[in-house]
Amino acid sequence: MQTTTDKLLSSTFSALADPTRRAILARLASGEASVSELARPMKMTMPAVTKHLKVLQKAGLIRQERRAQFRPCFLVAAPLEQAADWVEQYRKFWEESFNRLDDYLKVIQAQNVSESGSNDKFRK
Amino acid sequence: MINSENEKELVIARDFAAPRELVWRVWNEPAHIEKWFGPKGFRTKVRSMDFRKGGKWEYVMIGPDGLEYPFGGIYLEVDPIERVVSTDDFGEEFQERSPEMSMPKIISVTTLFEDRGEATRIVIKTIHASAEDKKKHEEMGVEEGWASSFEKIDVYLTELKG
Repeated sequence: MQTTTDKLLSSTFSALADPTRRAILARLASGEASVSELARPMKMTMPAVTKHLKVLQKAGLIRQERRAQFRPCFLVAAPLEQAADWVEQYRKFWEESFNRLDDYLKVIQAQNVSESGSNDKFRK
Repeated sequence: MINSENEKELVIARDFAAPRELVWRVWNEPAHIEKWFGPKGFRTKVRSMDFRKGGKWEYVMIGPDGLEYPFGGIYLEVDPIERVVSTDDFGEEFQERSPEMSMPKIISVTTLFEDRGEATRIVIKTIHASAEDKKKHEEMGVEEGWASSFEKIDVYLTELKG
């Protein structure tokens, strides 16, 4: 069984790696916008913006509605929350490892023991 | 602690009260690694470790319930007492065992060792890479090609929510 979460995370991070796409998401965080509204402040052509929107859509970060002619875009928050969760878990992983490393360094420095016999270097 | 001195990376750092040579060894020698690596309640075994550029490494973390979580990678750079760059690939087995702690597939991790007076600072820079990046990387054999990245994601996500 291949989980889909890792694929989702990968596509989320890839989508976020581009500054234009982050700017688009930041704009959409404050409300829906049409493609031309998104294109204007970025000084980009519509096809260029559409290309970025496709990446964001594929990553599930935005939705485009069909109801009106201008097809407004919306932000979808769930994948971003998942990415934030991952960052939090990753940080926790390293913080706990760091805590253990800190303790371990204290122990071996107190013992003045080292594996390959070059103890002298580490003696205070 | 997470900060973003470079906008393209996720950065975690910590200072340790030990000289750099010692921190380097404790960080990079299997017998030492097994003593501290991994979250609380986990044990880590170093299954293999070919500690040189292009060499492979494989760890397995063993959870409190005895379940094994294997993962590994390839060393892209080994620059003694300065830095290690490695891919970090959490394989399918890892994902299956830990759906709630799922990882993006491929990651490049740079670990820097810096003098801070009597202490040593470890800086971990994590870059996310797509499968295409990995392939490109393998074809080229060197450090270019990590196109996509975390891009200051922790700060960014907070901004979005705000």
